[in-house]
Amino acid sequence: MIKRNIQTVVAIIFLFLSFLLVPIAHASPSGDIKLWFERMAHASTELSYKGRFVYNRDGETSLMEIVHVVGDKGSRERIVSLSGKDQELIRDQQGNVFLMNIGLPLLVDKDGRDIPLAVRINANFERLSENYKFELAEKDRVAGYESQVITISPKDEHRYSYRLWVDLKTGFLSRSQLLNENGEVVEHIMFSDIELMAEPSEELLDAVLYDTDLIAKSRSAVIDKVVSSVDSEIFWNIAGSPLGFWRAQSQDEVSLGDKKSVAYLMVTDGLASVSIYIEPSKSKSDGLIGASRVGALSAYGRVIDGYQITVVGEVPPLTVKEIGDAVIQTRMSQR
Amino acid sequence: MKIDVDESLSALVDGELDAQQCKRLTDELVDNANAQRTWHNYHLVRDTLKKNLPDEIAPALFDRVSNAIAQEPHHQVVSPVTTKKKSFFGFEPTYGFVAAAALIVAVVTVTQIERATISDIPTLAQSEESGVGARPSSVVALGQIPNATSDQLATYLANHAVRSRSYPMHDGLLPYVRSVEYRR
Repeated sequence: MIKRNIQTVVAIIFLFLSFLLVPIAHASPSGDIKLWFERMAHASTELSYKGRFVYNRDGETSLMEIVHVVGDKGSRERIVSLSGKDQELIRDQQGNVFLMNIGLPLLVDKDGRDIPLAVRINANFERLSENYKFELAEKDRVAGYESQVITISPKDEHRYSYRLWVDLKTGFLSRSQLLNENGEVVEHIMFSDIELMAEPSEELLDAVLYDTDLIAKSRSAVIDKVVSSVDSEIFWNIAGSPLGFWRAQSQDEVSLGDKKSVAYLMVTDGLASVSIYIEPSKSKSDGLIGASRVGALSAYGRVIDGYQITVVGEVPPLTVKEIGDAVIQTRMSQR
Repeated sequence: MKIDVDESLSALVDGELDAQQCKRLTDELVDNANAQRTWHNYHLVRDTLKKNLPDEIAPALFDRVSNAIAQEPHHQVVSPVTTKKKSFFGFEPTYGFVAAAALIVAVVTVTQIERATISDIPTLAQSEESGVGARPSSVVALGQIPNATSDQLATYLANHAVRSRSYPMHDGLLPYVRSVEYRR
């Protein structure tokens, strides 16, 4: 009898604890954050909308209008600058990106697709948590809608922080800020009005500045004769994982405006990314030497064996310096 | 001032200004050619988006486009991609889409703190000696960018703006917006 009573008491206690633990598990901070990013991912891939947003960088403010239409074959977008010079960007269903400002439409990119940020964050959440702390902050209003503020704070002084405003009902990212290591906002996007569209019309995506077939009329931003400055026997790499940044892709070549291509590396910590450009050094006075800050970006330059190394990224100057110092050269025979 | 005018124009288009603000803005519009242009663009874009262009404006838009095309010195033929990655920066400087020079030069000039000397540059041997994973000092001296470097650096910055995945709203066309802004 006593044994049976003890069993009953233990069972009741176990049940009681279970009821306590279940909601705690559901309310774990990382679980909540991941749910928000899932909602953001859904919103960025499923919602069609139009609206206006303010883009601010380094104290310069621009007002823009965006139309984003989701369809069976992917999303299409149009952005028109409403202040300053005439600017219009259009991305069609094939991922071709056209810029229109003066002259004929310019094809600036092909297959310009990207994995939405929210999807990338969710996929790398555990790894990102090594360098960043994700927190739900206060609720706020953006463009008249209630939003949840999410903060992404670095765990050290080697990266920037982020504040995201996510619409409570839809998961739409309505405002975001990028803050430097001093807590100063260096880049800011905020929607002033948003209109979700259940059945957007095709006409909304027609170019405003040009009313012709963009592909037929466009010029290409691609240059046909690129002079490569990349030595096929010399390869570049990053030694180790400086400050938690790792190489995101193998060595690449990028073509620049002066009809030449340079060697390129990208490193990332999962959220911030840093670009490394490598080309033969012209003279000691021409290349960037040392660290510098260029608005929201930091830059660092050095010379290795006659090659100019230039590192740029949305990270503190110290970080680009550490990454630049970790660049190493290997020759074909050493690979 | 430019920002104030742009914001006020936007508010005016949306009917959000009071009488006194309207008067101030009207005065600005009379004296400021840029404000007049912005004002015109607001209405043109809004009316066009609403398919509300009156007949007398549509030909003007057509003329403007035609003139822009006619004034171009020559046009490149669309050619196949010769490099395996995005070639975002290979078009003519007249478009200014790549160079980003003017703003960048200005920003760079303003934001420099002190000039680093050659001796500050760690050599490869030094960096290897110190160990890549070694804890860095908390302060790094910021150097001045030579003028000759600014154009090249501007090109890198614009290129990075498209490739970077650092920005929270870096989806869709926003990387391109960012790059366009870097060259302004």
